Amino acid sequence: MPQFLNSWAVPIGLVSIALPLLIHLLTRPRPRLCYLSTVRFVREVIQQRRATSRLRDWLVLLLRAAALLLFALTVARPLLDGSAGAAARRADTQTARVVILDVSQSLAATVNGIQALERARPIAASRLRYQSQTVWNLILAGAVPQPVFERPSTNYSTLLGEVARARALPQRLNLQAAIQSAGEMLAASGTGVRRELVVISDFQRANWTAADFSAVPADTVIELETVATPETPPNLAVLRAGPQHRAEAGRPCRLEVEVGNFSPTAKTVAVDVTAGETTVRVQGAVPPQGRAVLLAEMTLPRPGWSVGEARLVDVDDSLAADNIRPLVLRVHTPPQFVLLTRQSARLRPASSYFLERAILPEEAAAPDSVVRLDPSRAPPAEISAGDLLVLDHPGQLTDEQVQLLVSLLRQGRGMLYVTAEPVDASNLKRLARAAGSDLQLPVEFSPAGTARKNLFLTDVKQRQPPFTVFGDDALAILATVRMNGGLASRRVTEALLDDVLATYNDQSACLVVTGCGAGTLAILNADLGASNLPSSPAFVPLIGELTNQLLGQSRGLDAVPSGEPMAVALPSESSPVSGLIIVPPPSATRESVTLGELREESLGILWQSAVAGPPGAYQVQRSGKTVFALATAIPAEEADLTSISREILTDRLAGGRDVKFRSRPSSDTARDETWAWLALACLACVVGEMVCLRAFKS
Amino acid sequence: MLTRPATRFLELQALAGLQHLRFTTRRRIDGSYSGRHQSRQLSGSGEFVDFREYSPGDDLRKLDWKVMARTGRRYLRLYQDETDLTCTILIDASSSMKFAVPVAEQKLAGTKLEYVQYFATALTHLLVSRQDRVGLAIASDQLQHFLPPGCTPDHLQRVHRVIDRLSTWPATNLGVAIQELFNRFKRRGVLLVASDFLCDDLAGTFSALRLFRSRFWEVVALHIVHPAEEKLPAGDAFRFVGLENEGTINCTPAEIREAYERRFEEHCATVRSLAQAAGCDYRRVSTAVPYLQTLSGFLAERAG
Repeated sequence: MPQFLNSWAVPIGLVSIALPLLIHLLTRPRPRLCYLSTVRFVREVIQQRRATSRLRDWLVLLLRAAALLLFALTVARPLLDGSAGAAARRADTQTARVVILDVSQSLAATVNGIQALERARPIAASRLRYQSQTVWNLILAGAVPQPVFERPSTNYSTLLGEVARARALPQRLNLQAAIQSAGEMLAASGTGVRRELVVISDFQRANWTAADFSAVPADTVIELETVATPETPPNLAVLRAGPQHRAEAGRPCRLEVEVGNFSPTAKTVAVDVTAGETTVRVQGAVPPQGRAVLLAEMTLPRPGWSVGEARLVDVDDSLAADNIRPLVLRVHTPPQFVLLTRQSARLRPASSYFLERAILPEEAAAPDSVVRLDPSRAPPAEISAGDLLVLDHPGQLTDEQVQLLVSLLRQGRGMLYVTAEPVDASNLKRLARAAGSDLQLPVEFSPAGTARKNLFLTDVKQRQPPFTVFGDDALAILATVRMNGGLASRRVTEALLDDVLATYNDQSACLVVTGCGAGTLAILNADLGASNLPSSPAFVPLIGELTNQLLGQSRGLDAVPSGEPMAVALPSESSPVSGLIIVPPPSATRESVTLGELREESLGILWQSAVAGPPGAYQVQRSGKTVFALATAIPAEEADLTSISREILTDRLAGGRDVKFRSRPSSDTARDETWAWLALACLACVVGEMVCLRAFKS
Repeated sequence: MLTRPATRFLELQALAGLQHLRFTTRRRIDGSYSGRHQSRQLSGSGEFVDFREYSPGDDLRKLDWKVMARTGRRYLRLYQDETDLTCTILIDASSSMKFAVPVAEQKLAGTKLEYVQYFATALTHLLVSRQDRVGLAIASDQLQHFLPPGCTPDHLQRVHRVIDRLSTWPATNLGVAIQELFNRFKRRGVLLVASDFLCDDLAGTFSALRLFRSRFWEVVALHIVHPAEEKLPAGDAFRFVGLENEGTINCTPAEIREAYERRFEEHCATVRSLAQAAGCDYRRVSTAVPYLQTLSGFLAERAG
């Protein structure tokens, strides 16, 4: 029995065959009575033409009916799979087959005008073709796998309908989740059942390098069907767009746009960056198979949330969806620094003096940008007013001050702690204790038993901020730096050593940057007053980059991957939750958007959604005013359309299982193009009808 | 001369403009009385036209004695006699002649028979006014009516009355009717046949006309054609009904229009060629042309 991808079109086609007859009967003219003296001539002429007329009428009727039938077949898309014999051989075996159809964004890539998903559709339909004693299930694999049924079913027509309705989603492929889901279904199918797992995908390298089939029962026959073309389709994409630093109202803001060029030739691209009502065009060259960061500078006049996008201009590539990336920008008022120190402002040179000058190197900076406070007399309100807290020689902090600092850290403030005195070790321990699980220092500081002198840096993570400011010359610049003072440190087991950005030659930590709640804590382990770092040319840029990094936490979140679970803490000023509404982007249809929910938590308002909505800028508003904004975007890895090689799949990733890899060659392409031939035949019938009518001079 | 028309087809005022025209024949004719047409007889009462050498058996009364006296040779003097014309009009009264405008939208009116009635009435009036004799025959599948030639006003009134009261018969066999008519004549004359020649046996019709030609009659074939016959009516579908019990037929004119027109022209060409082959004068008359114009053209053409 022939199978059809869109079987609903078959009865319509069969009915439509009768359409020409029906039209003929309905439109047959009613003859008018007319007396004529030359009826004999009319009769003679009609008799002469009757034979040809009948031939013409039959030909026209046949061609019309054939054209309609072929059109219906074109829409129905018959599946001319040649594996009927194999199916017959398996007919006596109970079979459970799970088909994973990749519907991630990369399946929207178009080659020669055909989407990869369109090539995948007939393959999936052919694998869901009816066979006796077989049950099927279909998993539409995106960021979250979506099985059509809970367990394999005989209702293959519904599965075919789902295949016909499948669309590429702006999501990455969560392969392991899909394999896990399929494995559970196959494992539950019972004993003595032949298990088959069919995966139809473009086998994008970014998604498949970590494929693991161990979740699938060992006796499962795994078949991988690729729809990727032999040549990787070229693609350009905006991979990231956001502010380089904290955006401040009235000051130039630099926006970074990372563009990926996944093609064998270098490209010069232009990107229109829009934020609010401002649009800036930036241009740059992107190397082949590489990335380039373009910088757009714009000045945003007002503080608040600003939404926009970065759009590649005049680009015609395989995947158009990733040429646009939404952008959300939080524009702040100029930051205020709070320097908590017991040192006098008049004490020069001193550690706090160096820090103050490094934070505000410009003479023209507002004098009240840095507020120097003595912790013993500082009111909590003034401490809380600072966007960045700098602690240098603070002395013993009170419990209230520790609790306040931890609270500010959790809310997203940045803190730079220069540890020069033994009491600082105590303060850090109390801060860590007060923060609980939110703050896990990679090292434990303790007062140094011996004098720490002439320490130099041995292990510097120059590829991470703040050392990126020096580029490749970081080690050379920092080679002359000699540090004195500070605390001894000991590594904490199971802690993130990546947070230790620089280490002294005695293996104690020099610079630690670690997260605490929504904020960041940086610890510079040195007595700046006794070191030569302040006199080094590296000091100002290092402290500047470090403060930017700490303030950068409030520059706004990067885009959330579309289609994936999302949990975002709203700023503390967003409270209370009542009165807040989530406004989707104008481009999103109401049906396609899952907005999630806003919940009041102990730390503030949490915005949760099981599935982040389609790409766009979502705003949380109260009384029409935006209090928070968030962008969702296509994951950047979907832009690289390079497929993983067959050998890696069948040898390395198969894990010893029997994995069959099939790439549909030209014959299968021809099968996929059956509809095109049918459409051509339909067109030929229409043309034939016209030729017939012309030939018979009707 | 008639002062009061006896028929609705006689338009005396319109015919006044044609009084100067006369019906002339292409050949010399036989007549009963003296008239204005050249007789086939070259007797001694007409105008001198020629000499001819005497042959034994010639009438000695025509011998030119003076020439014989001067030259010793015997010559006859020849004179052209003038005689009256005997014209018989044969009207086809089959039902096909009743054909008029088949569709109301067309702005043509009148049947072919009416056209012939006007034409024949006018022609007979002109002929009798020239002291020529006029006969009338009505034909369908046989000779339905016959009025022998005459030239009196009473005769003319009878002719007009018959023409006025013409009705049609649902069959045509002109050949039989013409043959029947032929048997009724003993003398020569002119036969004018007004018909649409829409009959099954065209060959029989013209063989019958050949009988007249063999007796040296001058035969004129007026082929009456209605413009609505030349082309099929415009429209999607028609049910055509024959006028001579030919049944009905449904068709879409658009499909056969060209073929029909070709077939009709073929019919006209056939009639023309048969007429010319039989030695008849052929004239195609369209009812779209006013009958007076047709008549004046006909008479003028015959006058040369």
